[in-house]
Amino acid sequence: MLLFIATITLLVGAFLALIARGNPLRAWLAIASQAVAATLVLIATLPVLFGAPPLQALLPWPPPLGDVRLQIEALDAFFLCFSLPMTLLGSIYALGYLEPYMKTKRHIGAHFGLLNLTSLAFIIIYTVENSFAFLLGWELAALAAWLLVIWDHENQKIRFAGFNYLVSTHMGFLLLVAAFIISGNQMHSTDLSAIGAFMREDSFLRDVTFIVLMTSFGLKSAFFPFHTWLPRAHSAAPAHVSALMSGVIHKAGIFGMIKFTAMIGEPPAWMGWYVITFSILSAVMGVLYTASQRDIKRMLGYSSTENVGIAGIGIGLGYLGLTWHQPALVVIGFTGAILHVLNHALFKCLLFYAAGAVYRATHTIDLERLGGLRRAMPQTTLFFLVGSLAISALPPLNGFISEFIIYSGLLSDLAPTSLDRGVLILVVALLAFVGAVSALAVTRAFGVAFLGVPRDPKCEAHGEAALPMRITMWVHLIGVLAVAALPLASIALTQAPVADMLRAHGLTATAALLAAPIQSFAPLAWVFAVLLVTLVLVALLRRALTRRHTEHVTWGCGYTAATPRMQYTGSSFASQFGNTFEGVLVFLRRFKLPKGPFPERGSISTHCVDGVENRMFQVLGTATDTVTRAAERLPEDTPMSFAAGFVTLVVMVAFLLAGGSL
Amino acid sequence: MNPTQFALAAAQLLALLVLPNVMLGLINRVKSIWAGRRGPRVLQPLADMRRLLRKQPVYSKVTTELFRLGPVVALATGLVAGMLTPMLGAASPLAFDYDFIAFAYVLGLGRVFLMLAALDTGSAFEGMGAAREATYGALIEPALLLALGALVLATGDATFAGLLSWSDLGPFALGVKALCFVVLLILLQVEAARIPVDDPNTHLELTMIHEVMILDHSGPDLAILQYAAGLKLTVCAALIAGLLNPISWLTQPWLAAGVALGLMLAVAVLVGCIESLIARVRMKAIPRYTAIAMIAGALALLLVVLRSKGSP
Repeated sequence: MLLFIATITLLVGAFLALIARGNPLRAWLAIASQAVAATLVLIATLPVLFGAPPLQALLPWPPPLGDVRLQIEALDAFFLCFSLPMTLLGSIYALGYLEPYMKTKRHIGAHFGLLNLTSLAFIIIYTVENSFAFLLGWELAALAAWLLVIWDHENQKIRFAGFNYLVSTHMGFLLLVAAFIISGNQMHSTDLSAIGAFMREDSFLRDVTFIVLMTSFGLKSAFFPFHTWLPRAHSAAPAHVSALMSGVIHKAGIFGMIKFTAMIGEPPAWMGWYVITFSILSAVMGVLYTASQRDIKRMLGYSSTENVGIAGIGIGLGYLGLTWHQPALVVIGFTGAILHVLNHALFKCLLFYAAGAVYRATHTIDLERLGGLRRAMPQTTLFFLVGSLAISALPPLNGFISEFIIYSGLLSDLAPTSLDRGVLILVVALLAFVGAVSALAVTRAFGVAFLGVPRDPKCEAHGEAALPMRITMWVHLIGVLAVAALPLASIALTQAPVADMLRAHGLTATAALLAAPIQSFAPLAWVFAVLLVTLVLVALLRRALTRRHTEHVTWGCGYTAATPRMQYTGSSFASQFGNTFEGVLVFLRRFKLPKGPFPERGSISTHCVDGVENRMFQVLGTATDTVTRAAERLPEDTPMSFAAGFVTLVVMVAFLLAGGSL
Repeated sequence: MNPTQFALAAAQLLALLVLPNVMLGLINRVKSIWAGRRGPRVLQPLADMRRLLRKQPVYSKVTTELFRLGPVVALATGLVAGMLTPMLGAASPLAFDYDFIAFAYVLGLGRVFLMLAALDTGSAFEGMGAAREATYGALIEPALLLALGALVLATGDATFAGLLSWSDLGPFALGVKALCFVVLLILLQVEAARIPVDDPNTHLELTMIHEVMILDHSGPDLAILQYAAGLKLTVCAALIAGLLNPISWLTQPWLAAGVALGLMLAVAVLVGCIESLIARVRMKAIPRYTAIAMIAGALALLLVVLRSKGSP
């Protein structure tokens, strides 16, 4: 009931945002409606997350949809509980981010209305148990995100990025439709429970449906190699939209994966390995690209691919646990995956918001031109630093907690054969590589942009981000620290969804079993404590030792005419690492070297372009060429092609007639 | 925790405070003997540290608090990593399941802050050092986890101490241990910046890795960083010593501790010999050098998998 009110509040809020007068009023109306809706949703769903029975309702609807069953289980509640408040925070951030437009004639209400619709889409996706209604919510989220991305629609590049996203997301949509058609055709029902019944039977069609579903969700969550739309969309969109897309909207893909897992009875082993393979591939490829981007938001986009990969490894482990009848592994895998989704939403949004603050202050997010932002923006520096440390899973922050749980699952002795364990240990090694490269990438981004001195006088920041932006960032920062400070409580948040998962597979969810990740984590809390105490002690010692100091310029190794442009740049920082992985990363280098005894000005610019997208466009390009060439040849041998076309037509008609008579 | 364990933990803390300087001094002494000199006293690094601690630091005007935080985090993470290491043949004071993951990530935290302190100065040289440190650090990480993963599979244990004190001395176990030894030795050379990866005595900034990152640190900060580097060396040597230690700490804890200490000093001598006899590899070839560690780790894993497949 509360949810209906929330839905209506959101719609009314969006409507009022459109018709109200004055941009600030429009924005505030939308935000107020979202606040009400988020509160209502939290009141309704929090009890479910802590073990109350699922909420159920039936929404009568005229055909062709039929009655829509609504149900909020613990997993739905978990996703609702962070999606709506985070969208609200994003809208508050937008208040500051779009401040330059507040006074202009541009109608800002549409943008905020779309943010409301995004929240609405979450309510639909996470509550309905009907495939048509599910698709409706899915499409609503996709369209709203597309319209939000093209805020600066006068810029052709941004329109292209938006279109690119629209095409990709609809490919995923069509795959989802295909999956629902296959299962709906078999079961003659659009209810998701019918899909569940279909997925439990071991059949060839079921396996096809599984792959189609995984591809669709992979496209939504930007798994490699379906990620090509993501870096473009993220760098084009306003910061809060990038943050919400990366941290919240595209978590629907992970949600889909987990939800449909719960429906498959006992998955065959290949499904688990399939998910793990794709996930580790995403994690490794995502992180390699993260290390070499110039554009901070593009870099953060690739890092999303990396992080959904890490969460995906947890899901894959859960699958394998179901296959091997190891409830402990199921618990570890899904706990790690679900917690990582929450962690990722917390620190990724924080990083995107901080990047947005940098953009508002300097009008660029190009690492080659930024530098020394620390002096003008101390708070944003703190936000970006904490986000960076958390995203590279460094202790004692929250990213480490979920990754440690996944590590403990990968290394556990629950796999049946030593070959399985060996493969999982390979995944461990790759995950460690991902962690180390991710540390490289964020150190590079943070160090180059915030430390040192400004590289380009045109891009100097003068002052901190606007207040609404800082409020949002503080809340996210507190979230990151809270999960880190209360690891056991945050793991407990995931217990109800995981217990549901076990019950769905006929396993008993005992308290001891669910507490396994918590127990494995308890000693780590000690390490965190020891680390913090040692840090404080060493800091005090150092302070005692360095009471007085003198100041001087940076030591230039004997060279005294150093300029800010001589600092190490993002490209130079990534150059050796990039060269090591030249086979995978595609660099676009344009340079004009100084020549002769009286050289003119030389220049060099490096871009790391997406390998998959590059190849895709190449193939598309040659395919168009092939078609064009074939079409050009056509008039030369008309009789032949005419005959061929005629025969084809006859055969097709014959088939149709035969099919009709059957 | 029984009294022996408590005493061993205290001894480990003491060793962490004393050993780094001894190890560095020993390496330098070995190197000077190879070079035909008498060389400085073994405790010379301690005297250098005392001298640095008395000095007043100079900070670049460009730097922020991160520059000052660098040495603090480097030292604190080194100490915590040291407490997570099974050092004196015994379980580490903070032993728990999968503690080696925490070990790797705690060291990673220290590395990140060291790099940030370097970037904080705005010097191209220090940025270069940070980039190199990040690259090689990322390349050695999977090798370490492969080797430790192989040991997890072989011993069925999940704590650092349990992995290293694998008591099997058959030909198969020795083969796996030899491969792990290769991994750990290269880990030591990368993490502690020793030849052939990095040369702590080089005088050309362009060829440095660790030293160039700390160019701007002076006085007590420099002392802390040098000590932290020695700490990393000690911790890596302790891992090697633990792997090679034939005495079980479960039966004879004090003898095992003594042997471990001796082995760590032997590792220092070995490092000194390697540094005297081998030239460092070219900067471009370091990724290939770390690939040796990765291949050794992968081979160890393969051996263990094949072995346990043969005998269920």
